[in-house]
Formats: sequence, structure tokens, C-alpha cells
Amino acid sequence: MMLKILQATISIALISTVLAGIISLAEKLLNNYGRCKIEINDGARVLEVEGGSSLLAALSNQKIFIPSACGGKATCGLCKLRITEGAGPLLPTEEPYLSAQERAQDYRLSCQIKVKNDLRIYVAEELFNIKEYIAKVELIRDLTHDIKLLRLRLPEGESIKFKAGQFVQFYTKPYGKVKEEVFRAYSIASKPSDQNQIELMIRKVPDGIATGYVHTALKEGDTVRLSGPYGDFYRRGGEGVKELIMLAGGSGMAPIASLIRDITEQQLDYKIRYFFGASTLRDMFYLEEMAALEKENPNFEFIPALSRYQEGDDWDGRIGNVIEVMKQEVSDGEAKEAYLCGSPGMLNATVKALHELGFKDQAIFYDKF
Amino acid sequence: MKKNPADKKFSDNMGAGQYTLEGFLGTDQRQIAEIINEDQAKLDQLGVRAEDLAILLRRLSRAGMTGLGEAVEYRGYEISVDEWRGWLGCPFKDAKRAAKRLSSCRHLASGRELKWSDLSIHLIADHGFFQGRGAAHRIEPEELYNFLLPLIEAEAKED
Amino acid sequence: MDYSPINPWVIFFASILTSNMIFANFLGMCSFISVSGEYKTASGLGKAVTMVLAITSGVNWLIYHYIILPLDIVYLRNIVFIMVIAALVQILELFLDRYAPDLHAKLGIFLPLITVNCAILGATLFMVIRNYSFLQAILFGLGSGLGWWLAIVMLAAIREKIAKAKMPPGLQGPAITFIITGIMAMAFIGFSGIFQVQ
Repeated sequence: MMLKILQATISIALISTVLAGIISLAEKLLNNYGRCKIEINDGARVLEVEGGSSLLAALSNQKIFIPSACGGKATCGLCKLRITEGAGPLLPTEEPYLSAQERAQDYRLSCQIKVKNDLRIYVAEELFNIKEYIAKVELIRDLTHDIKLLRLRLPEGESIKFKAGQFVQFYTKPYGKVKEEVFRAYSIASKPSDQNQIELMIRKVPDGIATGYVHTALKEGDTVRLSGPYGDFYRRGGEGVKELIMLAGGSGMAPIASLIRDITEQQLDYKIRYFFGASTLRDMFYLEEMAALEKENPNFEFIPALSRYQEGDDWDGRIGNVIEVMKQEVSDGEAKEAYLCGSPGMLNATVKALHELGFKDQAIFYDKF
Repeated sequence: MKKNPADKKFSDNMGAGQYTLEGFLGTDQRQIAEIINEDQAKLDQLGVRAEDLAILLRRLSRAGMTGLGEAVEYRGYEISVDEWRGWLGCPFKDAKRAAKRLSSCRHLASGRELKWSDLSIHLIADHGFFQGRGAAHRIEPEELYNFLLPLIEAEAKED
Repeated sequence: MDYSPINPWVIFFASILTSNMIFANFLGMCSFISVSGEYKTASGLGKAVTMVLAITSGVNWLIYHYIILPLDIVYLRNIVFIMVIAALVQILELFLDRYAPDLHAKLGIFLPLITVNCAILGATLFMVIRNYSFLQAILFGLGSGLGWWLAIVMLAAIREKIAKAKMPPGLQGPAITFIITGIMAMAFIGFSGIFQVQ
């Protein structure tokens, strides 16, 4: 009897050991990708990385920063790049973000591609310009009840070269219930000539992780990690363009402010009309800064509009929806370009209004995230 | 039903600080499958389907979006929609995403009020998930049904 | 009944049609009901189940005949079979992740679910009880898998068709699915005149 029990135990133990051995062997063989070569831009750079992680992460470990607004969750579609060799079949998580044309050109989402073998990829030159910074929070100021201005100072000797309108990625630290680092994209509000510091405007998102960090946990004097610059929202000033129409709402103020400061400083010869919408007086901000810019630049006109004016409000500006105000003021799209920043619904409505005014798609610029 | 081994992964995603600051489960101690099943039972009692309720929510939100933040009147409801930039992924990892959008709605005749996010609509429509008790965007199926009843009845008449 | 003289190919076709895992044996019902809502995923799961069934039948046959019988530990066979199935599913998952990442992403949670699919253990036990030869066992496993795939794909197609139909609340969801399954099973009985191996 004893022998039988012993025999049973031993045989089960042996069989499970063998199975476990086979599994770990399989894992070693199948899950080990070894060192993989990533060839960038036809051999302009060749990286060797440990296989197994996402391409986005592998590249950022090598200090090549691909823009991403969602942090690798496949919800923003910004981290697209061309992978001509070694990417494997298209994944269902990528499908929503790639058009037929992009698929034909081998565009993929780098956050979804696992580095498993040698890859051949193409990265836009300007992305090599992207660097990572550990910045010190110099100032946190309330602009409105839900928008904060952040001034971040870069370490001594480091500088960031960006075009007005571009954004940075801002990394939070774990706080409260949030156990992991997350990152989000925020547009730079300061002017490009300030290369040692940047300003961001961050509006609190209800239940938001990153904006919650900025609004509740972050203190002046803290250090934060950021990378940049990213984005193709910057001044174009195409041929024959005489006037720039700008329209923003809420924290959309940031990139527009940067654009106007840049144009003013460089004394470029554009007429600028900037329509800024807020619903109530407590959502309105930056009036003094804009008034100062108007004084400095006679070609610049700031037109704020309050959509929910209440009797007794201390307000002598326009009343009504900012898009309606713009429609009244701007007669046509002749020799004009439009620069927009705001919530998706506002962007859609503005683009529609601009089309009606005769603006072509090529003359309308905004960030699509 | 056998326990879904992925439950753990999903309930981790649903926790506070993962996708949103407060998470989707609130103070609810039940498994996600239990929450879904119990809400489904409630819906069965009422004789409606989660997808159909979600369609109406989406319709109300769409109507509200035309107001760009201001209140809009739509078939006896007053609705305003707030938007933020960016997208939220679905904690069920189904490759869908929702805009960061909050709809606040009031039924004018009864004065009933309800708030929901775009992600809530997706969770209800595609996963039958009304979120855990105590979660910020938990909607009781019965409350939702009663809230939408005037709209359901109005549409039934047109059919 | 002595199964040894039966042509393995007869067993193969019989296990698809007349002894279908779902309609004749009602095995693997849990995932059959819960994953048949959408045609694409149902088909993916069907493929994975087929793969696992064919491989486990063969491997378990070898283990049964060369380990369990010689060691005289037949009373432990269920435990051993389950362990083998679990291990195989693990390896299959690793394999798919490497060589078919799109299928891996599509199957997602259903892959590990296969471990607890009773059709898999059922096929192994049938093959042991009926004393199949190695070739018979493999074709039986493959056939059972294909039969299961066929069944879930058909059910999924029907469920997609009726998804928008108006139905009394008591019949919605699993209830109508069971009724459909019953009707399909009755239809499959029509095949039983062709050949019978159960």
C-alpha cells in the first residue's frame, strides 16, 4: 500500500516536472528573441536592442522618442512609423488607426509592435531632435478654476529647440492611488526663444490621472521628466498669406500664445486675429498678457468672447459663441491661414465654419489628438 | 459559468489609477462578471437591452455636442456636453477608444438628471457593464431606463 | 464494442458529423455558448480548439500507452491528462505569440480558456476508453476539433443573424441559444444513418 502511494506520488511529480521543464524550455526558445538589430532610415543608424519589448519602448530606451499621447495603450495613433521589414502581420489593435494608404506604405503603430527580430524602420529626421529632460517646476499658477500654468526650468546648460505650437510629453510620477508612471502630451505656451524653460497650461480633466497629478500632487520645486518637442502644428505662412486667423478655447490658449509671441518677437509681417472662447467669466484668462502683446504688436488683435454672459458680469468684450463671433468678423479665406486649438467638437465645428468661409483644408492647422 | 481567467486582468485595469483616477469599480466587491449579470437580470426584468439604452444615450450626447458646451434642447431633454482633449482606452482592451466627453442631461418635464461619459456609453453598449457601485459613473439600469422612458415611448409611437 | 477494425478515416468523419462533440456528446458547452456571439472570434476559438484537440489526443495517447499503462497508474490518468492539456495550451500560447501575433491578439483570453474546455479532456478519455490505435486517436482528435469548430461557427452565424431580432425577454441570450443548439443537434441526428461509431 505504502509503495503504491509512493509510486503514484513520484510518477505524478516526475510527469509534472517533465512538463514544467518542457514549458520553461519552450519559453526559453519561443520567448527569447535575443539581440535584435533595428536599422533606421536605410542604415543611417543601426541599433542593437534586447528583443521582447515594444518598438516604442525599445526606441525610447535608445533615446529616440516617437510621439505618443496615450502612453502605448493604442488609443492615440500618434506613434505611427514605417516598418518595411520584420513587423509581422497587422494586429487588430492597430486597425482603427491606419488608413488603407498607410497600410500600403507599411505604416504601423510602434507601441503595438514587439521587437522579435531584425527590423527596418523609417523615422522622420526631426524626431532625432527630440530629447529627454529632467525639469524643475519653477511656478504653478492658477489661470482659472480648472486651468493651471506650469513653468518648468530645464537643467543648467540644456536647451530645447522647438517651433511655436509644438508639444512636449509630460511624465507623471506615481501618486495616491496611481501606481505607475503615465505620460500625456501638452502644448508649449512660452516662446521658442526661451530655450531654458517652457510653460504649459493644463486643464483639469475630471477623473484624469495626469491632470489630477498636476492639479493635486505637483508642488513648486518638484522635478518632472519630459521629452520633446513633438508635433506638426506650427506656423506655415504659405505663399501670399497675409493674415493668420487663430481660434482657441480653454487650455487651447497654450500653443496659440506661443505662436503669437514668436511672431511678435520676430516682427513678422502678418495680421493676426485671435478669437478666444470661454463660457463664463471664471473660465476667461490671460486677458492682461494678450493686451500686452497687442501693445507690442500693432498687427495683432485679440477678440475674446463669452458665451454664457450673465447680467452683472464685468465684461465689455464680445458675447456669444466664439465660432459665431469669428464668422461675423472674418469675411473670406483669401490669403489667410487658420490655426486652431480646442476640444474635438469645437475643432470640428470651427473647421466646418472655415470651409463655409472659403478656407481650404491645406490652410487650416490643428493638433489631431 | 466558469470563471473567466481574464477577469483578474480586467479588474486590475478597472482599478483606481489605471485608466482613470477613481477607476470603474468604486466600492463594489463583486466580480465584473457578477456585476454584469446582475445588471443584465435587472434589464431582463424591465424588458430592455443594454445596447438599445446606449443608442439613446449616444443620440442625446450627439445632440448635446452641437451646443459646444452650451445646453441644447432635444425631444424634451436639456443636454450639455463638456469635452477635453485626448482619448480613453477601454479597460476591456477591445481596441476601441472613447473621447473624453461628459454629458449632463435633464428631462425637462420630470426634472430627472443624469450624467454619463462617452466611455460609459461604450461600456454599456458593447460590454453590458454599468460599472461598480460607488464608481463615479455608475448608472443603475433601472434609473437609466426610467430616465430614458419618455424618449423610448416617443420613439415607439413613431415606429 | 471493438473499435480496432474501424478505418481511422471513418472515425475522422464520424467525429465531425455523427459523433459531433457538441451535438452528440454535449461537451464543451460553456465556451460554445459564451463565445458564439461573434462569428470572427468563434472561428478563431474553433481553430485553436481544433489544434489543441488534435495535438493532445496524440500526446495523451503516447503518454497513456508508454507511461501510464507500464507504471500501472491508470487511476491517475485524469490528473495526468489535465496537466498535459494545460501544458500544451501554455506552449501553444507562446508559439502563437511568436509566430502568429495577430491570431494571438484576436484569441486573447480564449486561449487559456481552452484548458478548461471539457471537449478536450472528453476526446482524450473517449480515445482511451475505446482503445483507439495511435492513428485512430489523432484523426479522432482532429475530427472532433473540426466538428466543434463547425458547430460553433454555425451557431455564431445564426446568433449574428438574430442579434437584432425582437424577442421576449425570457428568451434572450442563453435561452434562445440553447433552443437553437437543440434544433441543430436534431438536424445533426440526420447524419447518423451514414455511419455510427459511438
